Amino acid sequence: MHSNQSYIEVNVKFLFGLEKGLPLKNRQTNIKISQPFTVQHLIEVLEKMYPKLKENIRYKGEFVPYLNIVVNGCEILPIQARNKELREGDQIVLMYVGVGG
Amino acid sequence: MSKYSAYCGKLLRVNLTSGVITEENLQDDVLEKYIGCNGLGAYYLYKETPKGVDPLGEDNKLIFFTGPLTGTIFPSAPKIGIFSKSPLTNGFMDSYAGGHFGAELKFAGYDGLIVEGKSEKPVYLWINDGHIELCDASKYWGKSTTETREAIKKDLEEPLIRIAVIGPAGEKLVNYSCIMVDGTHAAGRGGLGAVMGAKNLKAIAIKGTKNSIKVANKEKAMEIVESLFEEIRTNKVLSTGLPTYGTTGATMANNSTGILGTRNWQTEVFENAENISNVELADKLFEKTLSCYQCPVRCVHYCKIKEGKYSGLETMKPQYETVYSFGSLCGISDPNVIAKANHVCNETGLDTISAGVSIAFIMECFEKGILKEEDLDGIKAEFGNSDALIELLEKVAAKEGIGEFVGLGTKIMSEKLGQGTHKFAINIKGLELAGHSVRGYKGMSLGYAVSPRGGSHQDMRHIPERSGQFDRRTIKDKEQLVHDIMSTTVIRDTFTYCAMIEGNIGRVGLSDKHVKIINAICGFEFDVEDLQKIADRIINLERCFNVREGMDRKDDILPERFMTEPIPEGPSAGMYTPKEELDEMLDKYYELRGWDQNGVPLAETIRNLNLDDIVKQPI
Ligand code: SF4
Repeated sequence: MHSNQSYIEVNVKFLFGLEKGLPLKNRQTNIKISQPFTVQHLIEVLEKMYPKLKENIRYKGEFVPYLNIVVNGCEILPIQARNKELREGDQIVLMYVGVGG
Repeated sequence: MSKYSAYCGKLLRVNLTSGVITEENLQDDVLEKYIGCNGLGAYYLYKETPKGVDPLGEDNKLIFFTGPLTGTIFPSAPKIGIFSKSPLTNGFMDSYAGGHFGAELKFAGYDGLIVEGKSEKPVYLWINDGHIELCDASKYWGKSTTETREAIKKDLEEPLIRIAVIGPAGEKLVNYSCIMVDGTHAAGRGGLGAVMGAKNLKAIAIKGTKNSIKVANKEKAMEIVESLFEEIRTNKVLSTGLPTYGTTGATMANNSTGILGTRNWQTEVFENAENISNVELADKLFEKTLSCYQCPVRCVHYCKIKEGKYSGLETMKPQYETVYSFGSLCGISDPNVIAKANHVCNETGLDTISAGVSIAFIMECFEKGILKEEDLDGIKAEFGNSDALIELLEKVAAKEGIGEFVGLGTKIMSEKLGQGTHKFAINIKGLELAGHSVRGYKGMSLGYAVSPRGGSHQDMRHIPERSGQFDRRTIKDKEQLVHDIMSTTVIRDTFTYCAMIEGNIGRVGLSDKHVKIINAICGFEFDVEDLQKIADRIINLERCFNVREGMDRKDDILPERFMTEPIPEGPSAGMYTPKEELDEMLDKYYELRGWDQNGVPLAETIRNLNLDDIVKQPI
């Protein structure tokens, strides 16, 4: 499907404190990633771009269990992120769950 | 004295008709069956009220219970539970408030308080350690909650006492009036303020100085407490998110997945959500952080409106449910207006969820031409009209003009209006819906339908589906999910720890962690199976209460909008819960619970749960 493309561009939003300490405008960024087009790879790229992000989404090297990744409105767990495929124009939200009264 | 630790072993009974005040011992066999707060509230309410009791009559009781964790070294467990038959749902109602009132009651020597009868004139109850008095409250009647609290403190010359109070809305018996606790928290849901008002009880003031609460196994308890403190310290939601934003992070979280109730749930994407996001609210309003008794999380905030019409107003910062009900649901995108609406509710004693949902219903009636300006005392009740929102709220609290009608709640309003308005009357069993989508979570839709309270988000929880741990788009196995989550929420409200830390103890199903906590604190010797039986017993007793009061399968129903109109746009477009899906889930859930096809607990279920001592057949 994407095999001929060398990169795709996606939009990433950071919510509920995940944006803390990151040099972002409006708590979001458009980012180009190369293959593999997976959520796992996107997060690796983001962690390289924003070293502070690591502190917000990992504890002792592991993803915090209350991290929520939303791709086009569908939630996935960090554990399922590895193979979740991304496409050009996808909207990704990184946020914490555990809020809401 | 109980043989179990962490209890005072006593409850206070106050008969307002006769003025007689008595102390009773809590029986150990009752504690073994019901443990505390939610369990004991359900037990006493079922046992002591007659079938068909009028919620606002002398025979209804208003029951307050703490839990065994309240007032101990256990963190984030400050809650007081309040129980009664609801004037809004005509069924079982429990509502919980944080603050310091619960711990203070225990320090005064009581695990709970049962208020019965009706006083001839307005009174307040003064619990001064073991010395109890009913005092004249005539001069406080008609005053706001803050005015009353401050006046009582001044008159008693006791600036540090803890007070639960009703406002003018409770005095006037508004169906969704609340009880304000410590000025910072509300036992909001189900109209318990009206039950208190009907008894002519304006307030309960407590001074407790005898903290002699002991835990059973100090070493084990400390181990649990220390590890919980460490978890709270290292958890970003609890250590940073909630102290900075309260629960308002949910606004953008829900909007980003297309499940934020907007304009009376006509859609679930709010185009102005950014304006009422957690960040905007914090930037515009935040002043300082407050905490409940022994809670390191500190999710409660004080705020100040700094600009616009209400500039200078200092008040409590709204939490998510209020941002939903007065914000997106009414089409309002100004945090200052939401804070003002929250303030009106806190001071007059109204539930912000029911008030916002009721006004959103009026706004949709106005939009559809069913109600016109002349029907609404000249108010142009358009979605997004901030002045209309505040004016309607003030009228509800004063039970004045159209406010009397709006104060009935969406169920009764739609019954009176007819014209198909029931389709968008957003309540379950008469209780207006909290800010978590029915259509966007299949499990929540079943959970809401079978919740004893109705439209409450505290019996079933949305987080396991919202996190992706369970697929929110399928009905598969949701009966088991609802069963497991409701077991943990009923135990949470029985032990009385806060919903904010429920994820640290276990959200889906009871575990060893629950067992270790209660055994270390109280000295029980429960295992997980025992605890499951207790959870099942309490859930069934609440169900029996509702069945006794005339509810059954017909009441386990969702608002028609959610069963017939798919979400029209956004990331969750197309989702809804058709009646056939709900029925399929209900059949499976009833079977799992040991209820018949009509949702009535079987005699065998009652017997197996040892409820046959108080539940008589037929129910
Ligand atoms: S988390 Fe918030 S509501 Fe819960 S006990 Fe702590 S301060 Fe109170």
